[in-house]
Amino acid sequence: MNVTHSEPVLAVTGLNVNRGAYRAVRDVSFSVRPGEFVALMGRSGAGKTTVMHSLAGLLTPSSGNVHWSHLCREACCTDRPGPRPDQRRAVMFQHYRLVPQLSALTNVLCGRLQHYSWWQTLRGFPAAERAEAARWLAQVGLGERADLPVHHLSGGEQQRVGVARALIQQPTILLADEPVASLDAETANEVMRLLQQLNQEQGLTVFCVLHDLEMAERFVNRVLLLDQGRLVYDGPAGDLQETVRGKLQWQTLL
Amino acid sequence: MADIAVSASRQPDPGRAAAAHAGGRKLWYAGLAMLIGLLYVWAWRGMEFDLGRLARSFPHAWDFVTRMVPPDWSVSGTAVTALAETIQMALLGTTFGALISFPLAVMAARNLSPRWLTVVARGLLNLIRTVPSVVWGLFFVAAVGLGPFAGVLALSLYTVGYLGKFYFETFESMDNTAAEALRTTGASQPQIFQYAVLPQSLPLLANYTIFILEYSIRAATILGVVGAGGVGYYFQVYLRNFDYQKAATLLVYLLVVVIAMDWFSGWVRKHLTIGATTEGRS
Repeated sequence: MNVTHSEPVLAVTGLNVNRGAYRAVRDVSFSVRPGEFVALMGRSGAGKTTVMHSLAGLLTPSSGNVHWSHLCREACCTDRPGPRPDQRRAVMFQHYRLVPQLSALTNVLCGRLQHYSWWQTLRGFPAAERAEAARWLAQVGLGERADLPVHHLSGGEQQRVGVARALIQQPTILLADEPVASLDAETANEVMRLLQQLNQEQGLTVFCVLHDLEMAERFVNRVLLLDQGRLVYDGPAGDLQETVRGKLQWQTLL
Repeated sequence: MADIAVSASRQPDPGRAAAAHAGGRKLWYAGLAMLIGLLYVWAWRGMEFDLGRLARSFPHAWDFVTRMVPPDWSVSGTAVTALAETIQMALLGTTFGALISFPLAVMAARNLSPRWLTVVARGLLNLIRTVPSVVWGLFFVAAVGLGPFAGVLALSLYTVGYLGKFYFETFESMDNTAAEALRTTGASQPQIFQYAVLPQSLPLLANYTIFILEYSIRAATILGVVGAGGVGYYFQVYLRNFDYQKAATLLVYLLVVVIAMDWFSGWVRKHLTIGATTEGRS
């Protein structure tokens, strides 16, 4: 496992996030190498989303370090909360976080905002960008629904719009907070297969939060398991069940 | 390779802190209730409420009402013309007011502008809102002379006081999660406003604007009293000359306009689709 010796694309050391007196994330350290497909797992409240938001720059850790590779090192060291245009890190969210009144197409186009000044986007996106967005929507199976406001779409469709919005950013690493939690089994598999395909064919590094162990076993090559904010397992998905079962009740962890 | 380090101890139970918190909140509510009670006592004492006086007033009130019927329909032409002017004033005043309110509201919204700018913009809005519409009317009559032009200017400013506040509160109440998502894509602050805050706010902004338009028709009626155009001027003239039947005609026409406006704004608001919120915070 993890035999690649290239520099980690992401290195987290001693990450602590306190929410008031509650320590949501406690001393978590791990690193992710280019091309890995990693799942962060754990029960509700284990700190998965908190870790994810720290990586996405939406949260400032109480202590510890989130260190990105040369790809985006400069960008991440600035005090600006959001990523810089040269930093190709895309984020997908648990509840999609789309703009409900805008069309699926416009929501996807939002992924390209960083490449334009406000003055340019005030007048709309160029035709080439719109075609590109339409292509991504077709790829996630929503070609026909591109012009519908997203609040008319089902949860699964909205998440696929979220996938398209992330992918149009041409990320080198994709952070996905429960990308398939709200999808039916079939759509979930479709989305995961798409991520797997991008991971295998284009070398996209994927770091996602998953709930379903079976899903993890099928798609990812490494699992990080959180329990009460601590990292308690870091290894292949296949060994997880066996290793953990020896130590404690499996059910209490997932 | 796989490393296991499961902690047996749980987090310290936060139940105790929560109980203390609930107790504090109870006290807070009790204090609030007492404050509201005192407020009412104070208001009651200030009003010099007198049941006897109210009873003795009925004959006068009845006399006033009986002298209004039947309405004198001969002034219908005047009423319609004056009301049309009132509606024109309200429409233009609200439109200008909305156009001025929008940038001011962006400056006043804490989630969109730096702190110092919000303080300045809110101060300005408070100042404008403090001045009653009639006072704005007198001010502009003095500045630009009698007539509906003064009325439009007065209404514009009066509208800014309220619409500006409604707008910035709308911007601030918007679900922040979509905006956060756009921030992770590297979108700039104006882009986030254009693509996340504004689309989500638009239905509410339109809603408030129509409400204020409806309200402006009534405000424009009052403005006529100080000579700033519209139907109010005739109200004042008829009432001063004890032509209660003519004043009654104006009231009937005004009622028709108010009902029509109410129906219209209801219809528009019904057709403004407010997008379903997709989530709570994760």
